[in-house]
Amino acid sequence: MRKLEYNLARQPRLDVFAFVLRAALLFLLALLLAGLAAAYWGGRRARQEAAAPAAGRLRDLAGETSRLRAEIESRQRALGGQLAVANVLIERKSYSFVGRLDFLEHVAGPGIRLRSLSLVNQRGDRVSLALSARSLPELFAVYKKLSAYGLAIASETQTPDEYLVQLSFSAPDPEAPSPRTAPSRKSPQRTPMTPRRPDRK
Amino acid sequence: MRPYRITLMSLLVLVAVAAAVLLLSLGWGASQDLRRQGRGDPQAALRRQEQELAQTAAEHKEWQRLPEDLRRFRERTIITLDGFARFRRDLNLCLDDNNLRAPNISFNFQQRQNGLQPVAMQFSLNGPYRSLKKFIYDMERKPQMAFIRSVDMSASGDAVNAHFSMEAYLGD
Repeated sequence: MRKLEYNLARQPRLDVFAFVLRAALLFLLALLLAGLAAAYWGGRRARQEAAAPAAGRLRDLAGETSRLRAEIESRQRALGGQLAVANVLIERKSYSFVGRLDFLEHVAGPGIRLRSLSLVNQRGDRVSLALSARSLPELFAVYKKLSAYGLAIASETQTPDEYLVQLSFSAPDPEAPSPRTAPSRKSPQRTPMTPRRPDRK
Repeated sequence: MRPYRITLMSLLVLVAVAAAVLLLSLGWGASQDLRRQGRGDPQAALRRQEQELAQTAAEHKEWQRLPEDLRRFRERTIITLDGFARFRRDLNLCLDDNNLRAPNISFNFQQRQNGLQPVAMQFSLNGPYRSLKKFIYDMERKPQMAFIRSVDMSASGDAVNAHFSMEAYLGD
């Protein structure tokens, strides 16, 4: 007669090896993830610590720049008026009438005669003049030379002997090199004057 | 069986928590990096700030020197009352040197502004063009703060009539 064996356990029998394997794998995985997170934070912190001196220096530089800027503004308020006056005077003193006369001598050819001339010492001035020309080609040679300087012809009268013209043009840069006649072989020198502060902001 | 299952479940929860922590860290770190990139490279910002400081320091130095420059400018170019007498002698000498006569020179002392008193001068001359030009050249060369404001010239035969407006600045 065959002997019957009944398993009366309420739960199935545990495979201890499989359990230990699973537990160990899970534990190692958790450990690996935690390690990765820790390494990431460690790296970030190291980078932040390395950047901290640069940030401090940046703050110091910005503070120093602001301090200097404030001092400059205070000096601008205190000395701005005197400086503006000095610069206006220097600009006027630097204006060269001789330079403009040289330019006109250069422009006026042999058949051209200047009748009258008006020069004013101011920035962006226009030279007004009246001239007469013996022939039309000579007159147009003058027009052509002055056309680059905002030439404005006010009037032109043709007579049997000559052409009479009133015109104006923007005076060229007084520093323009064109000394031609005896007195101005050496261009008038600028007075060595220093004030001209930048208006940078 | 139950204690074993609880152990495994606990380990699974631990893995999930570790994974979540890692993912959140990476996400937060990336967002911080993006924000920092928006503000620019710290080293580049440092270099920019250093350049700005150098420029501001140079400008500051110039402004520090300005009172001394202004003092020297006034000393060299602004005419004192004694200097004005010398200037008038020089003006007459210049006219003589160029064989020019100014029959009438008018001086108009104007109101003092910014510590300076402008003096307007007007006179007419008649002479050869070259003499007039040489006179202008001589006046422009003078270091004092006196300059020609306007010249009106008109031909008169072989000579030229010229009307001059000049300005000089007197100081203390």
